[in-house]
Order: sequence, then C-alpha cells, then structure tokens
Amino acid sequence: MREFSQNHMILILQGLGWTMALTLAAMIFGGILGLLVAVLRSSPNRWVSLPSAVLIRLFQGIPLVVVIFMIYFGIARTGYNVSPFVACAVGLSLFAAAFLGEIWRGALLAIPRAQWESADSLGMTSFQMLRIAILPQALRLSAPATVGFLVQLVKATSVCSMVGFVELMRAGQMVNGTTFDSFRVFGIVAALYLLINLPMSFAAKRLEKLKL
Amino acid sequence: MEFGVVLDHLPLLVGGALRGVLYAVGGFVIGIACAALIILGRMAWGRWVTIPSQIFVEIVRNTPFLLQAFFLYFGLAKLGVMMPGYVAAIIIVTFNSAAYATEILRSGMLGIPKGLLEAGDSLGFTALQQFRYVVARPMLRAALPALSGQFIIIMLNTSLLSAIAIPELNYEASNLASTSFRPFEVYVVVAVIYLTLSSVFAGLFALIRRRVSGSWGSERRMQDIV
Amino acid sequence: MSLIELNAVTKSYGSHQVIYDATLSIAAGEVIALIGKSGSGKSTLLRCLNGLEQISGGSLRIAGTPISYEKAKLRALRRKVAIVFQGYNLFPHLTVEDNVALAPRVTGKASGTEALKLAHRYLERVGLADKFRAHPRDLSGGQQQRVAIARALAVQPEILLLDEVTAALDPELVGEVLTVLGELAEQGLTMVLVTHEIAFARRAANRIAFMHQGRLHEVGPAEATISQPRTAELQKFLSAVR
Ligand SMILES: Nc1ncnc2c1ncn2[C@@H]1O[C@H](COP(=O)(O)OP(=O)(O)OP(=O)(O)O)[C@@H](O)[C@H]1O
Ligand SMILES: [Mg+2]
Repeated sequence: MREFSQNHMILILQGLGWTMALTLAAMIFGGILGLLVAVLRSSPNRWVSLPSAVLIRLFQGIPLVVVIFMIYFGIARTGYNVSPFVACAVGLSLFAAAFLGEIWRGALLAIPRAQWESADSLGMTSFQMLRIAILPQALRLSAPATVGFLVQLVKATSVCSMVGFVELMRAGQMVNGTTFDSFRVFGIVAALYLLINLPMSFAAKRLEKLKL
Repeated sequence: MEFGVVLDHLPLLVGGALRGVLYAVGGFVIGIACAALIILGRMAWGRWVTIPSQIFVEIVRNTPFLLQAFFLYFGLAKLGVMMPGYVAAIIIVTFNSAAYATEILRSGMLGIPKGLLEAGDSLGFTALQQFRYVVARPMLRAALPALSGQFIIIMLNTSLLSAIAIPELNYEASNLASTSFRPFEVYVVVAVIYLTLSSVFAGLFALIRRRVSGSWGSERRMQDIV
Repeated sequence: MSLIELNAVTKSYGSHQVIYDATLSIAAGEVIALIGKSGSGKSTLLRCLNGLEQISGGSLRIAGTPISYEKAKLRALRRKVAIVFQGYNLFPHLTVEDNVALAPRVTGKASGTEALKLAHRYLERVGLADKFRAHPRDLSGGQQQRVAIARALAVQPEILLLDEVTAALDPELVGEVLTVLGELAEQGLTMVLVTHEIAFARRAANRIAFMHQGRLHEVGPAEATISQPRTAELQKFLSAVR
C-alpha cells in the first residue's frame, strides 16, 4: 500500500486524456456515421432505412459493454489482434452513430416538407438541398439534444474500463488498487467527470431555452 | 460458431438476467417514489428542497454509473460506511432512477396548464392536496413515455453492476466467457437476452400507456381544456 | 363594516406598476362590476383579492382581517374568497361531480357522500343536474363555465370573484352563464366580476368600477354610471364598446 502521490495524480490525468480521446474519436466517427444513419433512416424506401433502424434498435436494447465485448471477441475470432482501444473506439462510434442518428432524424422530420419540395424549383438536386438548406437547419434544431448526448457519451467511455482500457475510470481503479485511498481517488475521478460534463449539461439547458 | 456449450449454460445466464431485472425494477420503483417526493417537497418548501435536489440530480446525471458504484461501495467503505454489494447496487439504481425521474416528472409538470395550478391554489389546497389531486395524474401521464425509456436504460445499466460483484447477466457472462473459451458466442447470446428483455419491457410499457390514456382521457383532449 | 376594504392598494411587477392607489369598500351582499380597457389592471386587482397576487403597497382587509400571505392564512382566505377564471380550469381527469366535490371533501372536511350531495346541489343550481358523471371535455364551453362556478360555490365562500367568465364563450352560450350569475346576485352573494358585458353589469351589479391605466378611475351606482358617465375616459370607453 502506498500514499496517494503526484504520480498517481498524473496517472489519473492521463486517464482523463484517454477519456477525452475516446470521446473525440466517437464524436467524429459517430457524427459522420450518425448523419448517414439519420438521412438513410428518413428515406421512404424501407430497404434503405432498414440498416439504420436495426443499428438504432440494437443500441437501444443491448448494453454498450456487451456490444464492446462482442466487437472485441468478434474481431479476435477472425484472427486479428485487436487492441482494447480500437474495440472501444469502434463500439463507442457505433453507439454515438445510433443515438445521434436518432436525434438528428427527429430534427429532419421537424423540417417542413415544403422545403424539400422546393429543391426542384430552385434547380438544385435533392442532395444539394440536403447539404445546403436542410442539414444546417436540422443541426441547429437538434443542438440541445446533441450537446446533451455528449454528456452521455463521456459517461459511456467509462464502460471501456471493463475491457481493460485505461481511461479515467480504469486509471482511478488502478490507483485505488495501490493506494486503497478509495474515497479520495474516486472523489477526484468524480470531480473530473463533473468538470467535463457539467458545463455541457448547462450548455444543453441553455440551448434548449434559447430555442434557436 | 459453436453455441452448444453456451446454450448448455443458458439457465445460468437467464438467472443472472432475472437478478439484473430485479435490481432494475426494485430500484426504479423506489426511485420514482423518491422523485415524486422530491417534486412534492419542491412544491411545499420551494428552494429549500429545489436547490439540494437539483445538486443531487446534476451530480448523478453527470457522473458515470460505474463510478457511482465504486464510490459508494469502496469510497464510502473507506470512511467506515460499509455495505454489502447488493445494498450498494440497489442504492445506485435507485439514485439513478430518482435523478432522471425527477427531471422527467418536472418536465411532465411543466405541461400542466398554469390555470389548473391556480385553480387548485384558489380552492385552498395545501401543497400535498395540490400534488395529489391536481398534479400527480397529468404529470405521470405526460411522463410515462420518457419514464419507460428511462427504465430500459436503467435495466441495461445493471450490466455494470458486475463491477461490484453483483451476479447479474454480464457477470455470469464474463465467467462463462473465460471458462467456456467461447467468449464471442457467449456475448452474442447475452445480447439476444438483453434485446429480448428490452423488447418485452417496451411492449409492457406500451400496454400500460394505452390503458392509462384510455382511463384518463387522451392527450389531445387534455390540451383542449387549456 | 365592509366585507372587502382596499386602501391605497398598489401592485407592481418589478419596476412596472400595474395598480395605483386603489381605494374601495365593498359591503356584504354587494355586486361590483369591474370594467375597463384591456391591460387596465382589472384581472390583477381581482387576483389581489384572493391573494393570487401579492399587493405591493396599501392595505387590504377581507372581513376585517388584514390579508396575510402566510400559507395557512392564505388557504383560509381562499375558502372565504373563491374565484372563477375565463378559461374554466376544470380538472380534466375528474368527472364534473368530482370537480365540484373535491374541495369540500379535501379542504372542507366533508365526508365523501356529503361532498357529493353538496356538489349535486350546486350543479343543480347552475342547471347541470343531468351532467354529474360527464367529463369536462364532453361539455360545451358554457356548461364547463357553469361547472367552474359550481366548483367555486361548493367551497361556500363569502365572496365570489369572476374574471371575464363569458369572454371565451360563443355568443349563444353567454346567456346561460349570465342567467346563473344574475340569480346568484339576487340571492345576495357578494360578487366582484370583471366583465365586458356592459348591459349585464348595468342590470346585475349594484356598483360599477371603471379602471383606467391602473387606477379606479370612476366608481358609482351601476345605472347612473353607465347612463351618465362623469369622466371623459369612461365616456370614451363606453362609446367604444357599444
Ligand atoms: N405576471 C405579470 N408580470 C408582469 N406584468 C404583468 C403580469 N400580469 C399582468 N401584467 C401587466 O399588468 C397590466 C394589467 O394586466 P391585467 O391582466 O390586470 O389587465 P386586464 O385589465 O385584466 O386586461 P384584459 O382585459 O386584457 O384581461 C398589463 O400591462 C400586464 O401586462
Ligand atoms: Mg384580464
């Protein structure tokens, strides 16, 4: 057993860095994929919307930790050597894609049909219309829910500790394992999560009130 | 793919799943009761309840479930507050349910026309009477869809209770994964079990919602009264 | 002694003053009609009378007791001073009889059956003997408004406040509500009512109080005040609404 020291704090802060990295990766890949999910899901063609519907349904019905285990062991089964980071980043990106896709689809639906139909009259293709007029509006409309989801995403990264990836939660557990200073260690970890999440939560509430 | 060995242990997994559901249902029911008390307290005592309860809600909603479990189980033990794992588990599930349900009920209450609250005030109702006769039913009904979604999220979150050695589905799964040498198959089966559970509960809630909206009048008509 | 005594009452929302120097005595059994332009402060003044709005200055006595905003005192006041709103505000999840019986049962400590009996009596009085078990949503506006009046009466108040209770109604439904109010006035219930129905005010009210820019601009006997308004503002208001 050792005293809680500066080195332990550094380990925790490194964990925090990895938590941010995971969040960022999931935001970027999940965001891109989520856009695709939202657009495909809004398609009137069943076969086009089906894959997004399935993805959304899966993440609404299976715990993230189980999905990450499936990805981890699934890739391992094919003979590739996966790092926990890759399994986690892939799992979190799909997770983000499903939920962001669902949020953004709601926003797409909220935009009046007339705007879609005006694409022809303006001489634009519907893809141009989507990119130039519809998406920006939908993103603005969904800003509060999107920011609110980021809080969920940061919290979700903690699940990666269960496959042994050393992000903030896992770093806390490791330091706790050597110092047994549980109250202080988990208190610090909690404070760090609050530090990232509280501003985003407040921003989400603000955005909601502004009704952009 | 080799599911035989996993299916041999299906009863083990199903037992774990049922234990997880038990924690979810127990904690959720207590949590909603706590949330209702918080709302009532806010109505009766204003900010003396609003501010502390808001702090509680924000702390719970902005920290990961896993961390809360560690904090309660190991962190508090350090201060001399020891509790068995199952107590810590039920408290965590209750806290999460209460925090989210408070927010959900609060926004359900926002939908109650201001005039109805004034009508209750004008009839000389106490906060408790106002809550019981004017607020509770419309609030609950408005909150039902969000509450049912929240229950499913809470149920999926019980998969993290394995971290404090609660023998729920995910806990049994990781044991089986290492003993059977078929981890992928184990988790596929586990995923199917969770999917089934969440579908069953979603269906159950849809049924409740239909019953409730039948007996309390439909949403649209509720709006007409304003 | 007057039942309601307003003395130099003022009301402000932040820096925005809405009621200036309102002084008025209302005797038991009197019916007072508050008239005036939109935004002149009629609702605000009315809502001060049962403590829904807190006065900012001056004094307000109901039945000799200075108003107190302490919770228990306020609840006691509201059993003496009932109010009916323009928007009815019936409880949508309760039947008509339960809407009316609720307050006697939970605040008046009547037993369930006593409260129901009371509810039936007041519902009959407003002409709704055939609607006990109906839901508010299944009634017309005029019927809903009469339920709201019965609900207020079932508290057995000394004073009934009414805020534009006919304003949301279709013209053909206004009459049925006014008939009920006329009967209540005849029976000697003290009422303060905000209304746009000048002809009704003239007929049913003892006195008329005209509000203008937050002040009780002209107060006088109903008949005389309408037929011979003294101030230019009231003359202008009356010619505008005719
Ligand atoms: N809660 C409030 N906060 C701020 N200002 C208010 C509030 N309620 C009323 N006011 C203001 O007080 C003034 C008087 O309002 P009030 O509702 O009493 O008028 P009124 O005579 O009843 O009008 P109407 O005939 O339209 O009902 C208005 O200028 C209004 O904007
Ligand atoms: Mg008004």
